[in-house]
Amino acid sequence: MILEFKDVNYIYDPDSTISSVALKDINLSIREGVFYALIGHTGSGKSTLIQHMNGLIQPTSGEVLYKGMSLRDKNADLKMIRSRVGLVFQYPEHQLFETTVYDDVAFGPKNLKLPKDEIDARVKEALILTGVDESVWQNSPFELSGGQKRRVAIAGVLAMKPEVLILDEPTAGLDPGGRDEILNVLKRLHSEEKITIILVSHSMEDVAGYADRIIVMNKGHIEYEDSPVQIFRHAEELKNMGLSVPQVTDVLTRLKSKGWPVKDGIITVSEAADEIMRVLGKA
Amino acid sequence: MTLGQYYQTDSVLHRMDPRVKLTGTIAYIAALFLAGNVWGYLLATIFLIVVIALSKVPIRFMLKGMRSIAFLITLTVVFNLFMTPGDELIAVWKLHITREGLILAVSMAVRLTYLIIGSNIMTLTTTPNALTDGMESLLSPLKVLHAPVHEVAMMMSIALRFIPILMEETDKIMKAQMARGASFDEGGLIMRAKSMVPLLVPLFVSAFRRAGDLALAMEARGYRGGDARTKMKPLHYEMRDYIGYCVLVLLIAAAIVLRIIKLPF
Ligand SMILES: Nc1ncnc2c1ncn2[C@@H]1O[C@H](COP(=O)(O)OP(=O)(O)O)[C@@H](O)[C@H]1O
Ligand SMILES: [Mg+2]
Repeated sequence: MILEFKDVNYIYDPDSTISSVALKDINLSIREGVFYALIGHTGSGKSTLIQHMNGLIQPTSGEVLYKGMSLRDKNADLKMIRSRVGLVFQYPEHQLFETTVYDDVAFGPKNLKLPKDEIDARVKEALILTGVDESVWQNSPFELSGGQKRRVAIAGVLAMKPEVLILDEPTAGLDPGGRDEILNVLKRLHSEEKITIILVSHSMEDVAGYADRIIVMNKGHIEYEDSPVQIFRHAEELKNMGLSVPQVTDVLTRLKSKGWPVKDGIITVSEAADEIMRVLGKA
Repeated sequence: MTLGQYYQTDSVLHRMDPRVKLTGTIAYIAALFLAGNVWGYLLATIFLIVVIALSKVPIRFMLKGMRSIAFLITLTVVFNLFMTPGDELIAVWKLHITREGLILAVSMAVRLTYLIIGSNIMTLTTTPNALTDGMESLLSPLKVLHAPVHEVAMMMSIALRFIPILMEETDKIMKAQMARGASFDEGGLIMRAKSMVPLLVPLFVSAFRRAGDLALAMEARGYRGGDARTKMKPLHYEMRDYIGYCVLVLLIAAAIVLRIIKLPF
């Protein structure tokens, strides 16, 4: 158990006329080595929830624990925790500021006051992991393409060697190519580097093939926390929350209702193709 | 996020034309500085109380901003109290409080307090956009002198529109850098100034990006500056606005009269 939420509530601007409840009775456990997807409609509280995970926001009531220690604790070393729980904001390329790609990625490790050669090793490793070509390491980050900028920004968090990497809608505003590149980087980080991943998204389609567990948020509350196959059984409820199941899952459910003997729990296009071929007797 | 410090409610003052309120604020300040005796201040007090009652804004909002200038008021009072020569009232050690000093200190404190409350009432009852519209209209005679009145007003309303967005952006960038181990409240002056770089560079980049996008969007929709541009909600005076102007004329006249004629006190 690396992160734990206990009865967490959060209210923005509690003392004013415009106060809004963003989180309601959140209880959640994040286990090591799992790839989570956090899904919810815009305004459901996803960004607010993840900012609790490294102490950027303190709950209005309740507690957030990192390895059993409350982030509210006076002895909690938030700087250390923020290096262990890496948080990549939405549009992270907007936070770039250094004159070179290399220096920007080195910002995090430098803040951790690491020795120089350690910083160098981490920067290079992070840039290679995120697939940023060595030829641009000494260029200005402002000259890069949108997808490249975003990968540099993600490298900036990775260079702190977090155990958990949380990303807020990392594919927003990217073309399909850029989106697949980012998702494949995350998949590699999870399977090869054994990093716990929490991927925030509002699209089931994006996460279906990647996540081990899906957390569904609705109006500040956690509705479901389960495996993708289980989650997609709730197609009707998800629709009411402004979410959808992946198109292929929908197609197979309809085929089944028309009497096709297809299996349940199919969530990716290639699985669906295999299953249809099997039923047609052509596999 | 609220824009400026506008307080949303429905009152005569809220519905009043912004030009009347702008003129009124200036007239009120003039009346305050015309006040030379108790009667002048009494006039200003009564006017203020009536306006506060008309605005339907809770008093505590009026006093907003008082805390930030409390220091200035205290300083003014202290200086006037001890530095004004005249009939000595009390002397403690090397400090002398004079009759003239006491009067000056009290009247300066009253003037400053009333001035803040008075201008607060204007911004509490007028949306920032109405304010810039009013200013543009009042200053339009200067167009004859080729002063860029429309452009300045447009710049002001755009700036006002962007304040909350930039504040949100600042908060987001600060958090994003804190997630990378940055801290903004550690170390000495130089350390702190240096720690602003990771905040200010992205903030400027984003402000320029937004400005560029906005300029493009405005031109794409045919914006070409002030000439022959009409308004969606043109300002026009109603009965209450004419009454408002009459009250202002009376206020100034009364302030002048009270200053000139000899009254007891
Ligand atoms: N800085 C803020 N100030 C006030 N309210 C906010 C702020 N950020 C988010 N909210 C509100 O909190 C709720 C949850 O927002 P958010 O966590 O950003 O949702 P999501 O990331 O799922 O779109 C929304 O109703 C939003 O309007
Ligand atoms: Mg969000």
